[in-house]
Order: sequence, then C-alpha cells, then structure tokens
Amino acid sequence: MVEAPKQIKLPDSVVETKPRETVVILVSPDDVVVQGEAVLKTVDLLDTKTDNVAAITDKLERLERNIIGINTRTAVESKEVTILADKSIPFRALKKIMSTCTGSGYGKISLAVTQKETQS
Amino acid sequence: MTRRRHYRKRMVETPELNITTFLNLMVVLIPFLLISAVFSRVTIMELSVPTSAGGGAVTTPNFAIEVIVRQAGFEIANGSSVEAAVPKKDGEYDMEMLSQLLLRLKAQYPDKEDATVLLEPDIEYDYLIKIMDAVRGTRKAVEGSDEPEKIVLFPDISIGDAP
Repeated sequence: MVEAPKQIKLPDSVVETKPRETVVILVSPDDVVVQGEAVLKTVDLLDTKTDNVAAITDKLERLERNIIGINTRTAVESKEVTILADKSIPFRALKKIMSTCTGSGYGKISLAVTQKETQS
Repeated sequence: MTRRRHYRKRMVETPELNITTFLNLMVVLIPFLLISAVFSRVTIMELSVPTSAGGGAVTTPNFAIEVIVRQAGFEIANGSSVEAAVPKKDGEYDMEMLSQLLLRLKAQYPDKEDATVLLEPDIEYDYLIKIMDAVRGTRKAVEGSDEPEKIVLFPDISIGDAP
C-alpha cells in the first residue's frame, strides 16, 4: 500500500485502480526519492539535458543487485514503477524519469493520484 | 459547624457528573463525523508506454486521437492534422469543451480505445492528470437521476512530447 507522503500534494483523479507493490519514485519539489533513498535534487533533474538520468538508473540497478526484504523483492520483480509526483512538477521532469525507467527495463509505469470523492 | 462539615463530605463522596446529555450528543456526533470524514486514498493511473529505451518516439498509425496540451490551450489532432484548437478560458483549460469534443469523436469512432496525450515540457503534472481523466471518460448528468452516467471514452492512454 502506497501512502501519500506529507511533503507532496498528489493531483486528484477519478480512477479507481488500487496501488500495487512496485518500485516507488517520489518527486517532491525538493528531492527525487527512489524506493526510500533520495538520489538527486529536483532542480538538478530539471537541469539535466539528456533523457536518461544516471542517478536513477544507478539506484535501480543497485536495487536489483542487493534486495533487502520481501517487499523490495516483489517490487523489483514486478518491473513496475509508481511515480508519486507533486502537482506542480512540470512534465519534462516526469518524462525524464519515465524514459529512464523504461530504459532500465521498467516497462510498466503508473502515476499515483488521490482519489476524488465521487459525491461532491 | 457539624452540619457544614457533613455537607462538604457529601460533596467529596459524590463527584459524579451528569454526562447523559453529553453522551447523547456524542452518539449523534460520532456517526456524523465518520460520515463526513474524507479518506484520502491513493489510487494509480496506469500508462501504456513503449518499452524500448528512449521512449518519446511515437509511431503514428494512419489514425490516432491526439490531445496536444500547450501553455495557451489544447488542440485535438487526428494523427496528421489539427482538428480543433481550444484556447484557455480564464487561465484554465476548458475541460467541458474537451469532454464534448471527445464525446463527438467517440460517437464517430466507437471502437477506438486508445488516445495519445502530448504535452509541452512545462505543463504541470496536475494538468496532465486532469486531461487524462477527461480523455479516459466523462460523466453525463441523466435526467431524473442524481447519479451521473459514466461514459468511457478512450481508456488506453499514451503520453508523449508535443510536436
């Protein structure tokens, strides 16, 4: 179960798909956190010119090499990524993360959102 | 003097408060608060992404529904030419217009399930989700019913860069 962290505000959506156990990439206005470890600053991510972010690729590879705990195992083996990004993150940052993930073999990407109240 | 002491003693012995009214209030309040509590649940939106490294390069088949999101507004294209351009209204994207246009497209091509959302690099994530929601499906108010009817439009969404 993915919990919404305090430092980011997820956008609202009407989708009802439940989150699964996947590798989680969190993009707050300050940091990019891959599976619980801050790998680089969001500002640096925006400055990167290429589509492949070395820091993220690195972290994903390290995850595969030393798996700690059952949760990480299912997450890594699923080859799925869930991106939790703050509302204000521009698309080009997300695109870099997405192409980095697909480049590392994580083909299924999901975007996390908060469920909108259906009755409003 | 003795009577006074006796009185004080009785006060200490019986400090019971009459909380019945308070409990009655709680019985009403607790269900009410539980109903009104908003449980923010995290859900996920699945994307269909090309698995090859690099991404971005979307091969356009002969017909595709594309929603191009720009800073000034959005455009609906059919893979080769722009069909409709909708400017921003009061600084916000005109979501109703988008839903209407997509509904019309769905009526023309009922079997079409996939669509592409193309964004300019500086569009915020929030708008991406909003547009994707609109492309995925819409709600139509049904006369004589409180529950709006859900209409599925193009649930299979790919995203990419705006040309």
